Amino acid sequence: MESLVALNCTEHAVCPSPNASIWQDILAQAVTGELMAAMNYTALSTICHDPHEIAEAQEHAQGEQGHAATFAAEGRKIGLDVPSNINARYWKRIREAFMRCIAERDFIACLIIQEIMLESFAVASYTRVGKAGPGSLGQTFAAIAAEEEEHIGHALDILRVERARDPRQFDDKVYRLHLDVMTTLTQMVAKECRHGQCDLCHSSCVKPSLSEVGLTTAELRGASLQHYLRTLDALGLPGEVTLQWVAQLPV
Amino acid sequence: MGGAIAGVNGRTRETGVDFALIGHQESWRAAADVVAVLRGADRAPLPDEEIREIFPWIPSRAVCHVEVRSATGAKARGLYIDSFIPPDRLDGAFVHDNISRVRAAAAYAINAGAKIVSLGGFSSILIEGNFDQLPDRRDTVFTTGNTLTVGFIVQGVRKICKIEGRTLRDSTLLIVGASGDVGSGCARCMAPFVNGLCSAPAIRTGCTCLLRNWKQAEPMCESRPNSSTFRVEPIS
Repeated sequence: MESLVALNCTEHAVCPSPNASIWQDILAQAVTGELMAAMNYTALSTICHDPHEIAEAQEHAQGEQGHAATFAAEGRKIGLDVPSNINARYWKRIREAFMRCIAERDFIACLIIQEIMLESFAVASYTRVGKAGPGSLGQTFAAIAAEEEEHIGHALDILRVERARDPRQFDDKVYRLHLDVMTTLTQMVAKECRHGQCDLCHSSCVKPSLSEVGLTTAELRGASLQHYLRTLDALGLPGEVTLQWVAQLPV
Repeated sequence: MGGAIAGVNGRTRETGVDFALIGHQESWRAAADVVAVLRGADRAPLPDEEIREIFPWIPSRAVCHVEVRSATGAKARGLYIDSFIPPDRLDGAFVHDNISRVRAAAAYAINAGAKIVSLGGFSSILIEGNFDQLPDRRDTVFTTGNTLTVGFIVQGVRKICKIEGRTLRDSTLLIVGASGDVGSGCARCMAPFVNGLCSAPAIRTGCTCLLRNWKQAEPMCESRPNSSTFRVEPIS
């Protein structure tokens, strides 16, 4: 647990600590992810028929927008202007996958991408960052992780009902989306950005420096995949099948 | 079970199985082999370093289905459930984490509807015979495999008595290693049917405690022919 504000700063100036640049890149990923989630929920509201569902999607969009603002505010507290880029390499691909489901007006596929895949990664990685992050920064990550976990719980209720109607068809759909979205997500949290930079790190890739703030890509990836597998278990998908799916992801 | 494994299938779905086996990999080489099978032959194997990083995060779950056939042609369908205990985390420092992995594997077996679950060697050592550590078992029964071993031993003793023309009711049974899981199981099983029990334990204190328990259990041994002469005693 390091202090993010150097002690010899003048009273009003906020001097970032040597690790501030690492937190800037971590926050940039979080803000971008939340902004994309807000956009996804807004898009989802356009294909809902039930006024209650429309209102709920819009409410979720506002909530995710609020999370993005909270993360950005945490950055400002430590003297950082946190950037965001929804056209960043990996986020753009995920957004495109989501928008294909919107184009097909496939509400269930949208929920699977946003709630099962993206939120699993968000909850698991925010929880780890919450433990490593100093002071209010860590608390914010932990608190938002808890809120996202509630989203997953709500979505699971809807998706379980859907799976009960036709388990085989449902599982095939999850697998198709898994290949599309989880491949990108695992590339995003791979040990090295072999396929090119993520377009969010402000200088060099942050991954090799994560250990300086008590994090590693191995634990972020491991915890995210573990949460994803457990969420699929909770949906009722056979564990031996989802294990194969995860084992076949790129590294 | 006296039969050959007829098939191992990683893709079949668990729709009620007869049995489940809970285990873990004992070396990173074995873990790498499991991951390689899961990835399939058409994908490049994962580097060892990647496997060591990913493996500990995998929750306990079925890895494959097993089908066995007896000599009489009876079939039984089962699951192999791996607790994904990392091979380098078997020592005491990880005991709580490992117990929770075994519990999760047990829960998986119960949810899969397995009628009987066998805990592998290390898993049963972790549970130490205290099945209360396992989750709500519904109709699933758990065994360490020792029960079957005891069954075979008791069957063997009965058979040899018949061959030698002796009756169990008139015999005193000597149990070597009576303080262990298998030895104590044999003692509990045979006590009602023999004239007396003698034990030669590997651990003296454990045996003394056992003898006390057998004596306390004596009134329940109704099938013993001559309870007034029944004796339990350790021999050194």
